[in-house]
Amino acid sequence: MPDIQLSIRDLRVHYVTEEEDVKAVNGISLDIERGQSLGLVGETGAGKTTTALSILKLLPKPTGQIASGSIMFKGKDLALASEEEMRKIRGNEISMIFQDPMTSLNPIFTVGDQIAEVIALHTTISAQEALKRAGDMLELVGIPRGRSNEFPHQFSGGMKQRVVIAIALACNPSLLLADEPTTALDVTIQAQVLAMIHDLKTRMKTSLLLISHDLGVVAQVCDTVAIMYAGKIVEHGPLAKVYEKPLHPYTEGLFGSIPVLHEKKKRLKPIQGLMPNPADLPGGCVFHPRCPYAQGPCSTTVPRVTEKGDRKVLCLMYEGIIENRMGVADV
Amino acid sequence: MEQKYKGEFAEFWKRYRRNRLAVVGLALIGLYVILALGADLLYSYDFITGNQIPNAFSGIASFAEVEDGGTVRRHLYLLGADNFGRDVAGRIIHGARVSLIIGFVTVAFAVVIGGSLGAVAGYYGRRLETVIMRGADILLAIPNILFALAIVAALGPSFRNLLLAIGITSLPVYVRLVRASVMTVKDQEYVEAARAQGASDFRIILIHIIPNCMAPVIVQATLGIAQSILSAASLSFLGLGIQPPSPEWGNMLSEARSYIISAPHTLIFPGLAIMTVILAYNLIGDGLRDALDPKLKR
Amino acid sequence: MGTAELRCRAYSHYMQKKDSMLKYIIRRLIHLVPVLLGVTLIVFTLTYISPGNPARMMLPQDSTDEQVAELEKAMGLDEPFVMQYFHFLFGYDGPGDSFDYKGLWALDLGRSYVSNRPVFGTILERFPNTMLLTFLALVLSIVISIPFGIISATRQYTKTDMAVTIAALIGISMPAFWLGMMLIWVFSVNLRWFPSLANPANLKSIILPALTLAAMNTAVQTRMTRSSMLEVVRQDYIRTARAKGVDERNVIYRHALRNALIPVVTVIGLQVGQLLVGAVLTETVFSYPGIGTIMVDAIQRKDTPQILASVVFVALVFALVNLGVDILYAFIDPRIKAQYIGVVRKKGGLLNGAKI
Ligand SMILES: Nc1ncnc2c1ncn2[C@@H]1O[C@H](COP(=O)(O)OP(=O)(O)OP(=O)(O)O)[C@@H](O)[C@H]1O
Ligand SMILES: [Mg+2]
Repeated sequence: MPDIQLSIRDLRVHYVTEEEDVKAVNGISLDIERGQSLGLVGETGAGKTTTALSILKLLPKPTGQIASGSIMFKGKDLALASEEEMRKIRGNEISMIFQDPMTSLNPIFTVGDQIAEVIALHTTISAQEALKRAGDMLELVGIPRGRSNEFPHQFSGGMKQRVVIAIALACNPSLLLADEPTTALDVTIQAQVLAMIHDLKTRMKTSLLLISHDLGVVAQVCDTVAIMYAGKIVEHGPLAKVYEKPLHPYTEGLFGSIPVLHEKKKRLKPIQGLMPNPADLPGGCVFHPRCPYAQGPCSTTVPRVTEKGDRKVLCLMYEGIIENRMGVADV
Repeated sequence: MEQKYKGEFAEFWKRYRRNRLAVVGLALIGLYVILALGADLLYSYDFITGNQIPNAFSGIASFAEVEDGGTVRRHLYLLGADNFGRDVAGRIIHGARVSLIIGFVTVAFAVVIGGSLGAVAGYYGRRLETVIMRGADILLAIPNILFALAIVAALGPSFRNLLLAIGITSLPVYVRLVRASVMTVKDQEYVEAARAQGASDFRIILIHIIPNCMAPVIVQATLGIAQSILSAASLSFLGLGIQPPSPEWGNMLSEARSYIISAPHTLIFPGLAIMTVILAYNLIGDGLRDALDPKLKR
Repeated sequence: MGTAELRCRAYSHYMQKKDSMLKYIIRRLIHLVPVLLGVTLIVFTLTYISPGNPARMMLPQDSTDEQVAELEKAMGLDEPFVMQYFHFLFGYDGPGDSFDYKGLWALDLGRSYVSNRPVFGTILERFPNTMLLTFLALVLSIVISIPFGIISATRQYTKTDMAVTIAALIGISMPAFWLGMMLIWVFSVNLRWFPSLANPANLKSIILPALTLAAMNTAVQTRMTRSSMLEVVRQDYIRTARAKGVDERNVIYRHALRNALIPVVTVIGLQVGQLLVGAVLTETVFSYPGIGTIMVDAIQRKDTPQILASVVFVALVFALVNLGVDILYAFIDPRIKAQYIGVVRKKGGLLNGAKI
């Protein structure tokens, strides 16, 4: 029996504005085991950030709303949890690294204070002690503790990202949500930060949800991977297997859009078309307008999850409704 | 080409209309403009400047026998009469004409002169820019109303001096605004292209640069009109603007001040007139800002 | 590295910061000089070209042209423009003693044509009254505007927000002198709660003028606080604070408010100068003995030295207040500070990089 840390079931999240109803997340289910890391991959606008924000219930008010579904964490359904309960969880048991480190730190507080704040909030130690621990955290992420009295504007982008990570890890969370922690950084620092997250994760036994649209980044850190498209998870499975043989046409397309140097494969082609507008999703399979294998039923029948061993896929091909033309035999 | 402009205007109007208060502002100004244009039809100038002493302080919506253009007739004092028996409503409407003219003329002056200086400073840079911008800094360092007050005090109170004083004090804002816009636009490719084709500096500034910095200028000018009207009323209130018996809201208030106990209506209505006009321009300014701000375009 | 060394470096770091702050202030002061010279030149030019002849005004109606010319000579009015401006700045020593003055730099521009008292004497005597009024209005505007701005922002689109927004709109559109008279009509004439004439000895009598003067600023600051607050609440770092588990109260008051107030403080600072100027009209309405009434009286009596002195004085105070605000602003916002302690940061960075 695996030790499940977080279990999302059929989550739907909508952004309701005056003009439209944006269906950002449309019934996703996910499990993350203790100490495991899950990569959530998808194009821009797929709903990755929205998923992470709804776990912490930090969706922008009043537009962002959890329409249905459950988010079980340590026996509690976060979707129903009160603001008070959430506050005790945020930064303490679940913490999040945001997409843009440049703007994620408060400009008027020193970095030391900003780290110490989260420690002081969730422990009973003195302010003095919290500041000392903040210094420890800075050193942990490779910044000399002497700089804890400096302000964010005195730090480079990479250093800010490290501070954001230090804040996220300060209370030893059991679940870390990392939203594209490296996209804002240049390549060398990217690698360092990734290595650091990986290292900290193994040391602290933290579960990790790593969001990215970069398959390479996910490959470096994650055990399992979920591919997200237009608010749905279209494929989910162990990293190695998914990378080796994608089941879903979209996943295949994603791999096609990154050039593979040492392999000469015929599927070196970007995915045609654009992601549909989440306020106006197509009927049937959401991917069918762009799918090279789409057939008649794809535009009318909504696919259901097909389990194939430890993998899951959302495509009519595996439900036997349409012919499987991907040339992938049973796994 | 014309089609394109029509489309743009429709698009702009769609965004402007979304702000209901801005539409209210526009309607208010429309009303004032109509009243100001029709002022002579409604009340003759001689009548609203001439004395009707027997009817002094007639109340709101009261009737009285008045002499107007040699004939005696019954007259409705809609908003009452002042200390000389002059019709308050008529004076407000004629005053609207003065205020709207002051607002328009001073801002037009400031935009044209200030904008040109700003364009020249931004386009040519170097010494010319330093001189112009230092000048603008100095003008900005003197508070508007104080400066206008000093100018009128020095040159003597007259309509022309009032316009000059308010026009000059509103100038530096446009210098800065246009210079800043020009500096961001002038190195863009289409300007480089025009230059490469041998267009003259004047032509480049006029055709390529000015239209591109119109949005902030239009917004500022709308708010500037409100500011000018307020300054004019303030100066007239201090006796430094339009002189009685010419009807002007500020000098009406200045006269009414002595009758605060006996005739508060002479004090309330001119003030309300100033307030609504300024409010209307402020609302329009806010609306324009939202409608013209490319950041808010969806 | 040892703790002593650390402390030593921290100390020198601190000293450098202080040092560069001083440099910043000095630089700002130096920048102020040409602006102030320009201001004085403009005001002086205005009086120079004004049509009235002060010498003729001081003499009896039936004086001869020779008598006027003589007085002009005694007052130095026959000298060329540049000389007169120089006198205006650095003093005048005429043939007699009665028209001598030490110049603007010494706050001495001679005597009033009307009262024959030193013009700056009257100004300095009345200035505290204007300061008192301005200060009260400033306090009132801050105390009212910031809470209402916050309430309005945290309850965006509610009835409360609507009410505050409309009140603020009306506030920025109301001429202060009219508001003052309306307050007199309501609270002095009808309700008889406050006197209609104000004087600094009676604090109760200053309430209405202070409210009048504060109205416009209160409205502007309320709008500013609201929009700034709404802007800040949308920022990523506020989401970070929430993600840390900070409660809503502290998110607003600890994380958002201080950031939101940075632009508000600038506006308040700019408004301080405006208040001082607005006092001119407010004082007139309430016959309050401050600089405003001096100025308006002087203008009505064509008392040139008094006009010149009061306009220049207010303009100077205005400029100095704005400078003070800028410096204060630099203290509040670390990002502004960064502009002039940038060098220090780099040094610190280098040292840190070189260690271990
Ligand atoms: N506050 C909001 N109001 C309305 N729609 C929103 C809001 N935030 C996000 N959306 C919409 O929801 C959808 C999902 O957005 P989300 O930010 O979750 O995407 P993402 O997968 O994180 O993309 P990216 O890779 O660009 O970060 C998008 O179509 C987006 O436009
Ligand atoms: Mg995202």
